[in-house]
Amino acid sequence: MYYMEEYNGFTLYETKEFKLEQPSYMLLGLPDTGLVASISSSYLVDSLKMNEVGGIDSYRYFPPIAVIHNGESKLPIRMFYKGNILVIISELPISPSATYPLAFMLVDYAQKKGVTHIVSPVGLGVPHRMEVEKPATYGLATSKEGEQILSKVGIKGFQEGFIVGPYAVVLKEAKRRKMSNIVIFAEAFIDFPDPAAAVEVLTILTKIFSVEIDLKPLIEKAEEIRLKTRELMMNTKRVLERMKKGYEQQLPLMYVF
Amino acid sequence: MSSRRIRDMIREFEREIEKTIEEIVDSIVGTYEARPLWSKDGSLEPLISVVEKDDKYVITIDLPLANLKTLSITGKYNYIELRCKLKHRVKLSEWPMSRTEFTEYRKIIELPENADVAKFEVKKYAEYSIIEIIVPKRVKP
Repeated sequence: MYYMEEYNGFTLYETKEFKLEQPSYMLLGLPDTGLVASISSSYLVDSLKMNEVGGIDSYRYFPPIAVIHNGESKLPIRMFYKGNILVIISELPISPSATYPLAFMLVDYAQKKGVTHIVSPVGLGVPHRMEVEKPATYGLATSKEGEQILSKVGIKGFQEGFIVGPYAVVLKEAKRRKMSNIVIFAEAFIDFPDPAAAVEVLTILTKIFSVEIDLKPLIEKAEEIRLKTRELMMNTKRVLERMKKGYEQQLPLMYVF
Repeated sequence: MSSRRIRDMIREFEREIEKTIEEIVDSIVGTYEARPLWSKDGSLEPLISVVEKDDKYVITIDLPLANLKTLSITGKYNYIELRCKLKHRVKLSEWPMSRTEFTEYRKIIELPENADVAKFEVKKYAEYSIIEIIVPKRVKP
């Protein structure tokens, strides 16, 4: 164990020493609408052959689960690193009671590691997603540098709406600490996994990170991914409903005027 | 003590109460569903979403890798039963509990008593392997 930190019910472990090159990015792969973040971040980790450098566990918020992968016991939240990118992927949806402490911990950790931009891919549930051929994407940033990046990759700004869940807390906390949080929204199925939305997010992420990955296998395996992620989607939906995720389908008061 | 400090303390107190309530709810209802969506008889349970409208129920069903030509839907009492074969046999992984090969989707959906399940309509979105079953509500005499 290289480094360990306790934070309000969560324990973060670094199992390998690593230093992010600058400018650096921390990509969050927490289960959310359409599993857009989970699918896109897992695919990026696999394509870039990123190194596992640690993870996060919680005896208070997680069930007693050990994830076994390639014959090794893994933590429910895992961290991967390569060059200037750190990816954090959760195998479990984040429960409402865990949302605040985990989001605060992630922003705190990003600050400690000198992360330039926290990047949040968010699924934007649309009721008639089946009638949408190519999911639209939008961006939002809490810093001038983040806004410049979004404008450089040519993504429309997310102007009005609600965000609910861990990404909302990360956004507010990053802004409070004057840290850069870039949020990429992609239209997605509300209740089903949406690899096509993840493809749209990855198209933007690869431009932001200046990396090249082949998205063809993800497009080809989309149906298989949807079939294999049903249980995670079912649990995520259950958690999102408790977080009042339906708010995202509503208009904020400010939009009225 | 400044009013800002008092406001911060109140906010912190409110957050603590909310967190405690959420933890209690978590412990009562449970956050995670341990039920697997597959059976050793080779069937898979699809993800579904049921939305109630003024005059109908709209059931959306995700059927990835399904051969929609084999789709069979029947309505009886207040139940809708769905069966659909997969395009090919599927193995979920190599781990011992899932040595089963899956061949079809199967699901029984219970609707409220006012659902007129004999008059359902089906819309297919073949590109996404998603279907919508529209079940009208019975008109009160």
